Amino acid sequence: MLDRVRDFLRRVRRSTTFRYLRRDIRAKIGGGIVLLVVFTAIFAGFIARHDPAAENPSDRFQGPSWKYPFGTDDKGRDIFSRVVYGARTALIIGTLLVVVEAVIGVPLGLLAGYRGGKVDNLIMRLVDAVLAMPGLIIALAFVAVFGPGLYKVVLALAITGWAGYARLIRGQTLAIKEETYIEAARAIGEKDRTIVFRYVLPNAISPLIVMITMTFPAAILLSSSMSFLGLGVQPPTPDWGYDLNAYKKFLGDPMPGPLMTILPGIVMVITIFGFNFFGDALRDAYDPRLRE
Amino acid sequence: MPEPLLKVQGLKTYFFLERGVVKAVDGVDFEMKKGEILGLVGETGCGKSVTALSILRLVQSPPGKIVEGKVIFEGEDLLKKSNEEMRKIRGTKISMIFQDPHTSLDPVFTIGYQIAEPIALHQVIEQHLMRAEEVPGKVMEMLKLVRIPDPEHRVVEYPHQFSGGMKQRAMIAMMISCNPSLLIADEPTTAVDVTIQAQILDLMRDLRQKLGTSVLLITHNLGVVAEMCDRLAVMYAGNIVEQADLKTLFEDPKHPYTSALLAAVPKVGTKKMELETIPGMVPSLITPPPGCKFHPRCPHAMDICRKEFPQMIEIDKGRLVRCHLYGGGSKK
Repeated sequence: MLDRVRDFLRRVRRSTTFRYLRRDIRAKIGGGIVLLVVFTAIFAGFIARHDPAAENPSDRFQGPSWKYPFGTDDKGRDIFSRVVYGARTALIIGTLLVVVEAVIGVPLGLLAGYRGGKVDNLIMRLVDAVLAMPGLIIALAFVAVFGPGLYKVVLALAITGWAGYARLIRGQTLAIKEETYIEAARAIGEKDRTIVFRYVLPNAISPLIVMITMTFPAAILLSSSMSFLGLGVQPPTPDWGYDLNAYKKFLGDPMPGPLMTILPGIVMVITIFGFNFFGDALRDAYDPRLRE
Repeated sequence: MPEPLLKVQGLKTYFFLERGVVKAVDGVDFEMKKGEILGLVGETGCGKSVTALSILRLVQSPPGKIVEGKVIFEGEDLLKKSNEEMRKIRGTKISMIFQDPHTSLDPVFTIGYQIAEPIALHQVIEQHLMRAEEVPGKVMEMLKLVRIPDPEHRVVEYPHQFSGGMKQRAMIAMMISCNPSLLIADEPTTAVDVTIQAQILDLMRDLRQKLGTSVLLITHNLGVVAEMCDRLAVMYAGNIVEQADLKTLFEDPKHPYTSALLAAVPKVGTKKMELETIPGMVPSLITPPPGCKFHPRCPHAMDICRKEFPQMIEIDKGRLVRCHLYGGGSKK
């Protein structure tokens, strides 16, 4: 029964959001790139022609060919396959990091901003302390203690990353809770929990989306930096950042050629660009005030 | 005499700031009958809005706090209710319309969603008065009731696509959707232009007729008061200084402040070029003047006014005034 109310409410509420999104050119381009990357990541096994980790010493430094569309690297691995599988690594790291950071940071920010007083002080002093720490170095220390690996890299980066979300959402909450519509929500008898999640949070969604679209590519870059130092995703797992660093040694070699060696970097740039574009469009669609 | 719908007794709401204690509402008493429109008038900063927020217990705390008094609504003291009980009263029995329709609707939800919200919350989930399927119909009914044109299309629009007057009407629809017995309207027409003002007032009168809702109308606009109210309470610096029915008060104001307020309304057709003003400033609510708070601005101030705070005197039936001029022998 209540589902029907919710259905109705959802329909009335979102009816124009996605209609708007379909018309936005940035949503089309960005969304296309995002979809492509997600598709590649999911179906990497079908798209790639070789095992990305398989080393073929006899096929080292090959130029593009039917067998190796983008050539091979110094260990005879198929660059195309590595780039395809790299999408999987990038998406997993980006998504996990955003989710972990937001799941910790957003509720704490809402709590601090809405409750105020001692709770606010406690949470925000913790946030200050965390923000004062150099993120990458803390992450490296964490990995040095607990060992490298994909999930540990995410946790290591989230240790400091959530604080940004908490601070952003707390600031938004402070501003939004003074709005008359929050007072009006109280005047119609809404519960605090409802006010926080259904009035405050949706009004803070556009900066949150911006934050997410910023963390996502940053996560890919940070994890690549860690891979470079040997403390991130471990080879043989294909990782764009790791490969880019590894391939720069033979950038000047005739085969597989400069374009092929920086291919992981190009793909990374396009992916980040796509996510940013899509994020911008999404932000505008979510916030009806930004549409005109 | 039937039990009044709302009875406010000795209400005191203070704000505890670093500079001192602001006595925004400093002992307010009044009653409202069922179906009555009571106007609460006074200058900006005299405590009208805080009185309204105190009735709903929506005063921000800290720094605000209701320190004393009773708010008896339908025979029960609202100040003794638990937060949860109070929350259920808001929106169902007492609702409030705010001054600025542009900021009192949530910008990220459609009008239809916002009107559906209180109906779904109170009527469907909490009280089981209605089935979920009926909510959309009820929303349309409310939109028609407040005369939103073309409701079928308007229901999925956002607040920024509405004009000020339509927003205020949507707000009213949202607030009366659960048939409250008391509607508090905090300067509902201040932020809209004059033609819309007339429509809004018309609508509220209409709703009183149709639904029997009592309205506590807070305003500093005496023109609005003259059009709408049955009875008036004049507030000055945290106290009610005079209460009477509309006609009596306009024809024969007793308190010097009321007289000055009425004199300050420009009259059409008079040749006078200068506007009448009340000399002096609104007193500080942290350190109000001793005795009668109006005495520094009062043309009739006497010695006793500087020393003693005047009591409310009933000089006629339902005719209350707080002034030393009517003290002495006339106390009944």
